[in-house]
Amino acid sequence: MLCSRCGKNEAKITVEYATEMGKVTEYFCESCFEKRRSPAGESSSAPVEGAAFSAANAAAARQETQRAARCPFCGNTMEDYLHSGLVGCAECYQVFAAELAPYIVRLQGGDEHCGKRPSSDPKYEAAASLREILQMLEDIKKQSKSGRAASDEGRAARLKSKAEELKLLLFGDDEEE
Amino acid sequence: MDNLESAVVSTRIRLARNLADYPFPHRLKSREQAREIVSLLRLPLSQIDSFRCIYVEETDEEELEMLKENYLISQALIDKREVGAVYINQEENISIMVNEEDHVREQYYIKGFQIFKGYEYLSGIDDVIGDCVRFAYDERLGYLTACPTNLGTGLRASVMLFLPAITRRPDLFGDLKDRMRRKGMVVRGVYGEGSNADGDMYQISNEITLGYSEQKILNEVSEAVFTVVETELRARKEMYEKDPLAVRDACGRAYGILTNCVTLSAKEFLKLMTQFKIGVSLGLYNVDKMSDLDDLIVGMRDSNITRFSKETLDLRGREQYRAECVQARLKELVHG
Repeated sequence: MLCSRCGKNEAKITVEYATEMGKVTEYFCESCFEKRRSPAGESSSAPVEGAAFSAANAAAARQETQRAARCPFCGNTMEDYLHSGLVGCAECYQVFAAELAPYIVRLQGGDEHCGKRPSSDPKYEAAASLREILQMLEDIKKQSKSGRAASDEGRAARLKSKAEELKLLLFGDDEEE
Repeated sequence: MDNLESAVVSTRIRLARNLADYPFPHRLKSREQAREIVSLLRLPLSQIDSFRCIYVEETDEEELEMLKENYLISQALIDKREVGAVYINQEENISIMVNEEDHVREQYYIKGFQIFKGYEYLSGIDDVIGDCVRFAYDERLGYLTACPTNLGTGLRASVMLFLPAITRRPDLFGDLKDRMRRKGMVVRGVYGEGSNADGDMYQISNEITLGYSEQKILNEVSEAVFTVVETELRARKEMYEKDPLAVRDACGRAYGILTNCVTLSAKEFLKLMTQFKIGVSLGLYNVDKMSDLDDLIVGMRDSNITRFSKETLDLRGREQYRAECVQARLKELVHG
């Protein structure tokens, strides 16, 4: 069997590791196995993974200190990632970009997304307003049911009308209630 | 019954997403944060279908097991007792797991081989959600996920296959696993690694999620499925030609027991149904749709019997109930 990394040399070493998809088995020749053991030591001239491993080389010098560095948003460290296999938050991908790059390339075989992207016209604010209005309507309904407040039909009607407007903006006019 | 239908059981499409403004589930700071994420999804989902929301911590183990056996949730979500939740539509073929490994795991489960249609539909749901919440996304890495194995598209397209002939040929099975791995596919048992023996059913799915477009991934999975199905059908033919009496005998015995026994354990039922399905796939018995037999297998799992039987049953009671139901259903399904 050929090495699953270079596809040229005969595979002599079998490595099994756990991923989200279950147990994964890889087959390496001696040369690729040595490189795998030290991702930061990968040659920057590797044809497929060049860009990512250039970053990895740069990262090697500060690897130890970076491992102890914490993401300011979630508090995760590279050490945490190495221990759990999980990144802490979206920000971590920026903070530990250089350190994560070789792992990403190894797991995925590349690091350039070419698929779907989020909508170019997101409506987060409209959604936030609608959520707020729906919550207010819910509160009015609850208060009215419990008799804790006088019926506020006028306000409820105005809010409902606004909610409909926002729903139309968010979901179009062919959506069900 | 066409060739594909005799081997493909179902298709599952999954998209992994996270919200940009929250730490990933394993780093969430409080239960309140987790609940916020659940509530953010309520609005967009309410516009798509009638979804019920189930919090893991408020649900008993029996119900959770039933949801897992029906592929609506994963064990990983059950393990996230304090923060996990799931939205399930009325038809129970779409589930949105919340705070599993990622904040949002959108899943669409469809009978048969419907990989492209499945993705198109789920992607539409993803668009509606994505209009209302800010997904974690990076121009280079795509959709950001807790585990880098899901980066990029976050797409996992899995096809569940019934492979009895390949299972009985270790030489073919080993070779197939190697070929699939080289194509970037993973072959595993229905409930993950180590569950290979369950009804000779396997899942084939893409391993790589980054660097390929969704269409390319779907095409590759599709190609892989066709390759496996071809191999399986060839192996079935060879198995029958080698010893037709043995195949007919095993299938006939299975049918005989299934339609005459008084009690039936879950294990024996699955084993006999597997034998019987081999015969059906070879045309020894006439059934309109193989998926009816697959539905029967799912419906006769312990958790589903508990759910649908009118009274509380102990093990013996479930075995008796299973035997009665199977007998009645097979008599309806099998012609001639």
